[in-house]
Amino acid sequence: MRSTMKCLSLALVGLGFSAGLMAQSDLPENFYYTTLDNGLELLVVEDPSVPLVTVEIAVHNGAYTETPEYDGLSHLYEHMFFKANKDIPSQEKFLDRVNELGITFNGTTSDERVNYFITLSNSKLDEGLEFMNSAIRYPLFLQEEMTAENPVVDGEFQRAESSPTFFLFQDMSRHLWKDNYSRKNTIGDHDIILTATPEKMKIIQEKYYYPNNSIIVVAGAVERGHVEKKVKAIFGDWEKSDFDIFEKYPIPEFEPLAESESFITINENAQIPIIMVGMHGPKSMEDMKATYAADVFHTAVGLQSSRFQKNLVESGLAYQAGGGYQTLKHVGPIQMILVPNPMSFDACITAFEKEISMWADADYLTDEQIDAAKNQLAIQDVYSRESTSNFVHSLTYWWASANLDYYVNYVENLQKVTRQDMVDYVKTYIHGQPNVTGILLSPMMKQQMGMDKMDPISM
Amino acid sequence: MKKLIALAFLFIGSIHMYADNKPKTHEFEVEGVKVIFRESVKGTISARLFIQGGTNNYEKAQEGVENIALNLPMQSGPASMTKDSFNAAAEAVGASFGANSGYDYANISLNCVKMYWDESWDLYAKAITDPAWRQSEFDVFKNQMVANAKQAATNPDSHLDRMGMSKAWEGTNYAKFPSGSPESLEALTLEQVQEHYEKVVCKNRAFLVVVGDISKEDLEAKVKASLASLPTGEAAPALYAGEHVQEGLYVEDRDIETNYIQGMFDAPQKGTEESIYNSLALSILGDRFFQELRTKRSLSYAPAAYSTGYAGRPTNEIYISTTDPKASLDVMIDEVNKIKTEGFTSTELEGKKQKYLTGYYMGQETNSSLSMNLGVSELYGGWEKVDSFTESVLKAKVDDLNGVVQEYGDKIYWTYLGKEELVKPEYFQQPVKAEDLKK
Repeated sequence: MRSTMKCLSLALVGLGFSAGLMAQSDLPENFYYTTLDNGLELLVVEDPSVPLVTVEIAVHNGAYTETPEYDGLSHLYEHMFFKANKDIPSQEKFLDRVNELGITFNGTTSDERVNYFITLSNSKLDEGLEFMNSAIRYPLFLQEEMTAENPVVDGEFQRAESSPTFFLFQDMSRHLWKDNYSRKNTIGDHDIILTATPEKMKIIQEKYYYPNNSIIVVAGAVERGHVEKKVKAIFGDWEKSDFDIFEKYPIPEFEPLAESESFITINENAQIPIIMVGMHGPKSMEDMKATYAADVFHTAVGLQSSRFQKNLVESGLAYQAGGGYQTLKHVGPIQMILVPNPMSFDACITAFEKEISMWADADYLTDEQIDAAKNQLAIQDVYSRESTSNFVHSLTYWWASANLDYYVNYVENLQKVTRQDMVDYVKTYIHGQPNVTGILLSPMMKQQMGMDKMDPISM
Repeated sequence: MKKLIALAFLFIGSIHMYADNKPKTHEFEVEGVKVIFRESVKGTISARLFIQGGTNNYEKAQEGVENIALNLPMQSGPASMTKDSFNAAAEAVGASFGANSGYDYANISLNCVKMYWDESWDLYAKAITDPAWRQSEFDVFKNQMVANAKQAATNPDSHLDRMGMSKAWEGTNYAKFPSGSPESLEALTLEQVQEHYEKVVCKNRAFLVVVGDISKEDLEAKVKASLASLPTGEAAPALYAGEHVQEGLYVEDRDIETNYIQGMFDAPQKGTEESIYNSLALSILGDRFFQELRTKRSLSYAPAAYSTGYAGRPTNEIYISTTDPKASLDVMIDEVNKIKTEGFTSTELEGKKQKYLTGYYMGQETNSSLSMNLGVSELYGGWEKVDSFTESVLKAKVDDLNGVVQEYGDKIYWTYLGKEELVKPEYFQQPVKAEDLKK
């Protein structure tokens, strides 16, 4: 963790910006980071390759802020962004304006972030910024629009439920997070969604929708000076919170699993057995070193040339085997997926456990595989930057689940990961740690395999 | 690895302003291999070898053969290398290889960073020109494909689409599943796969598209040293069959949380000006669906209308997932009839043009999507259409859009996946007929 995040607060009074948090010298040359006086972070990414601009606003909100009574309501709130506000009186008019400006828009809700984004012609940047300002600051939450939207959001839920793997993931989540399940359950609860009220939306707004809890990223064929001036003029009077948001509404600790457990998910539409293993991984801001080690380790294990892939997939024991760590501030999960060949189910489980048991061996990965994994992660970053309109989403993901500095130094820090760092990661978070093991089966598979219970994978 | 760190940040900084300049594209031939090369200043390189013929290249009983035949060499590498050494070499330079076989065409792809272009191309070209056909690797890969095919059937969208194609076009090439069914894949042998590869990967069926920051001379030399050795082979038979969508309905009962509906109807031939007007028209219809079905009536999270289909079967599709099929179908057919009888407004069209161009430029952001667009345009009438697309969109008039929706699509083939007890055949109505509109 570099110290630049906590230093430098030279107030550039004339512009209303403080050059705080991140020094420009740390950033790629086309990135320009500033913070408005009201705490709104602004990142401009200049990329003139196509005549477009993407404006994205991300907020520290999402499943992790939800108690059971609000399970799924960050997501519903996200939907209400695209409806009536003080400048646009209804969703119909909202869509008319979208049409007039030629906007492509969307929003997403995840564990620790809600983001809203539009892409439009760079010649309409100013109108785009005004459009986003009205939507983020002045939503009306009209009762009739909520009454209409609640079943739409529930319809999104039902689509997810139409796929059998959804239930495996949900069951896994319940086992992994116990009483804090709602804080990892973005899609929510049917009853909570269908009975949501404008009052609940206003409570979310009053808790989390402040400039000092948000970032705006403007990326594309734009000129930095113009963007900074316009953003200050438009968003500069957005009032910051007069309290510390996460001190007032703290995120509870996710208690470690006491012991390993397991479950079977039965779904009549399942066609092949799928095993999932879940564990509690590092918190991004508390054990950053482990997060980098985790990314390199799981990428190396997933390489086709790795012994893990050869002994499980190339051997024919499994159709698919892999895993990964999800970077999050509040306990990122480690998840592994194994699609066993049903004809050699027991041998597959034995081989899987054997491989995991060797993960902390000094020679489990070759030097070439470790280098290749680092190389792949760096190249993925290059690819992600190619499409600026998509890259913006990655930037705000890192902003929310770690911080921008984490991302800016990501590739460099991956290169520093040593074999010992990966051994430490495995020993701290995997070996000897409790896990949750689940399997998805159809009723017929369950009967044919004679499976009444699934033993947790031995770590 | 230091080299790479610097590289990662260099790419964005090295993008130059070229939006105002027409990008340079070269078309040339190297010893019988047709090449389309687009210059790009981005730091990645995308190469795709397009294979023509699609589902015309094999029989229904062998569906999936092309997908396996083109993918296996990208997994196993050339005969001169073990699978291990091939994958390790690719991983070391971060090259990614893939293949996809569809209804009209297939492509074998390479994505890499400029720094490792030489090494990446070498592996890619070797795997294409001298593929290893090893029984054990085939067996493992085939089993994975069978598992994938089973898993795909659990995804309602993917299954609905497959069912729609196979039932609407029963007895034709478009009834085949390009990725194969569990049964057809199980029956495939290594010999059949190899034989198929040798038939289709030839100069008369393949052309190469490359987008990247390299020189034409470099590319010519590379093709000459590799793909030029491919056999001449036979040209792919034409795909166009000239038949139209017929009225029909296929219902598949599945106990799931919501129900999926797709309606398919005729569209103008791909690559024509009419097809652009048609795309604009369907996109506006999609916006109306959003307003009428989602915003006003809360009938669905995901109503949609779009142009789709293939060279021989240009079609449009309307789609919804809903817990109230009857009410949704009534609104959908109403909206289809409205565009046929009342047409579009100039406000709708002008906004749509701008939005369409936004989408078009977004599709130009990556070299990989550009190489795909160029190749597909070449198959549907010429790669140049990628560059004339904006002009065609801007000159579209309301009458052009009204003309195509009146002319095409008065017969819908409906496909339904969900709770059967919620629907009756009479819910699936047909739109107003073209001859009635003329009266």
